[in-house]
Amino acid sequence: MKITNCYNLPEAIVQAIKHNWYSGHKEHRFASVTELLKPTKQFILNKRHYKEIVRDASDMIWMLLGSAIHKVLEAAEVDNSISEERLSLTVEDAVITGGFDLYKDGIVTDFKFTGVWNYTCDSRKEEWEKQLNLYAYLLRQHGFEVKALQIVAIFRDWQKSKSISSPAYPQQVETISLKLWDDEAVLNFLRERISELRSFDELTDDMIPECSPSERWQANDQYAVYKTGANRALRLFDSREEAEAFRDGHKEADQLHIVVRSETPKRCQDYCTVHQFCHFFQQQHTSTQAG
Amino acid sequence: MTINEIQDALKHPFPREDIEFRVSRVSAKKNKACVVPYIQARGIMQRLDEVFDIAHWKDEYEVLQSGVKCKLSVFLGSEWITKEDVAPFTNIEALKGAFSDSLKRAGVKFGIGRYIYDVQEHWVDIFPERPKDCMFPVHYQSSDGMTGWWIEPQLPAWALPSVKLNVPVQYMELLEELKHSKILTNTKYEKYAQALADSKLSEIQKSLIWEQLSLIKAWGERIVNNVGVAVEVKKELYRKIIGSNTDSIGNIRSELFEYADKGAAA
Repeated sequence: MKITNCYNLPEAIVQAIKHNWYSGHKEHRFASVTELLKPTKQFILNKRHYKEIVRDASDMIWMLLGSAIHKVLEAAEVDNSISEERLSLTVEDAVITGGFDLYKDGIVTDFKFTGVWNYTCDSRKEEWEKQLNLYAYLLRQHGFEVKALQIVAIFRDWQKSKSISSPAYPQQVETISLKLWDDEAVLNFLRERISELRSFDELTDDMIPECSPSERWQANDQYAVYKTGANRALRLFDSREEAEAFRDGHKEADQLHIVVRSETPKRCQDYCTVHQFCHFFQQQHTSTQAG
Repeated sequence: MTINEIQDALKHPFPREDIEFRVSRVSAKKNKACVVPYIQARGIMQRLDEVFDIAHWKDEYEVLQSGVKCKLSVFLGSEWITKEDVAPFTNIEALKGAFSDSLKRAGVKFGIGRYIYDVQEHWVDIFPERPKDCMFPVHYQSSDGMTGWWIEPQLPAWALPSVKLNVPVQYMELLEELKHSKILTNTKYEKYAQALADSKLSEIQKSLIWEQLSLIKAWGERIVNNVGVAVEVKKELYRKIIGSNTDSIGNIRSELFEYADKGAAA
């Protein structure tokens, strides 16, 4: 992967970003825990096109800040704790590696720089639960007991004014407890994931199915039924079948038409490093530009 | 021989011993070399002798400013057919190398050894000492930025004549279709070809692979880019195909076509 500096950021920051990125990408592995949790298509394209990927340093600032806090915590050396350790294990002949942030008194903690929206909507909780359970499994396989899992979320877009006015608004830092899985559940998850990645790796780039709407951080399509000439939809449906049934059963069926409402896939647009190799993104991008 | 038979005979893969490898580049740490296969010029001549006999093919050369042009002619039906190509002077034995290379390139235009371009490049280890007990030829090289020994890699099954002979034609045709329509990767194509060439494989197992391949083709053509089929269904169908057995494959086929039709209608 090549890191560019299109916005002329200070050299020290660019060097830090490069050092931080490349230092973690030299180990021999099938996947790291975080890579394993990426959508299948993204994972495979990333592996196949790694050398061709170009990212700009300006898109990696938050990643650098995330790493910075890990370094600070490591330097603080909380008593009887282990931090920033990388462990590995082999499952189905695949080497899986993982680096957790902090392990103390049987509790695995991961620090996340994230948006308030992710916290209030629980949108990343499922992914975090998988990630921390994989760390827990790695730790258990190396002889450490794990009693609990938690995320310490530090909100990068937190606003003091909102925290005063809205009781549901989180504090600047929140601790989120996650469900602990047993070994069998983790192992089943790992086996399924490895098998999925291997089986789709047998297909050419364009044949690997696109990421699902949730993987693309995109709400499912909605089907709006409009009366010809009207600005507002009569009804909204989650599926085309429901919309068609409504239209066909309507007394003015011949004057109704269905419009598909699709949200922009946020991950593809701004957070996927391989979208230039993805047939789905390229099609969407072309049709958006053409439209 | 008919034209089709002549074409097949020209395209037929060469025996392993007629293939050699050369180092195309070396890794930055100088511990690995990227090697690519090539066919020796005498292999091309041998193939022309076999297919046309010595009286019915001829080669003419023209030395150009920076290379050599070869005009290769074969007597086909009642006329001479000529194809030509050029090759630059080589680093070692410049003129001789260019003559050989231009013949090879002209031969490729008749289909001879064209398949060799589909063989992926291999990275091999560079050893300081001569490796022992190797199945494949070992070479020593002290030039082009490397010093050490390397072992020739194995060729994929489809690039060897024995596999071509053992795999039923219709299976290979289907496999080729999957490769050319860019559904399967080359690696997976090779695995399937090797599996089908295995003499221990029963007829039932072969027919299951055939069924799986034809369903993968249908999946690639009718499901994967079908906007009316949900992503999870696309994935699930593919997983079912590759994990199928003789009992389940019939149901999977029905399910696949049902989704394809529904999706197309949507």
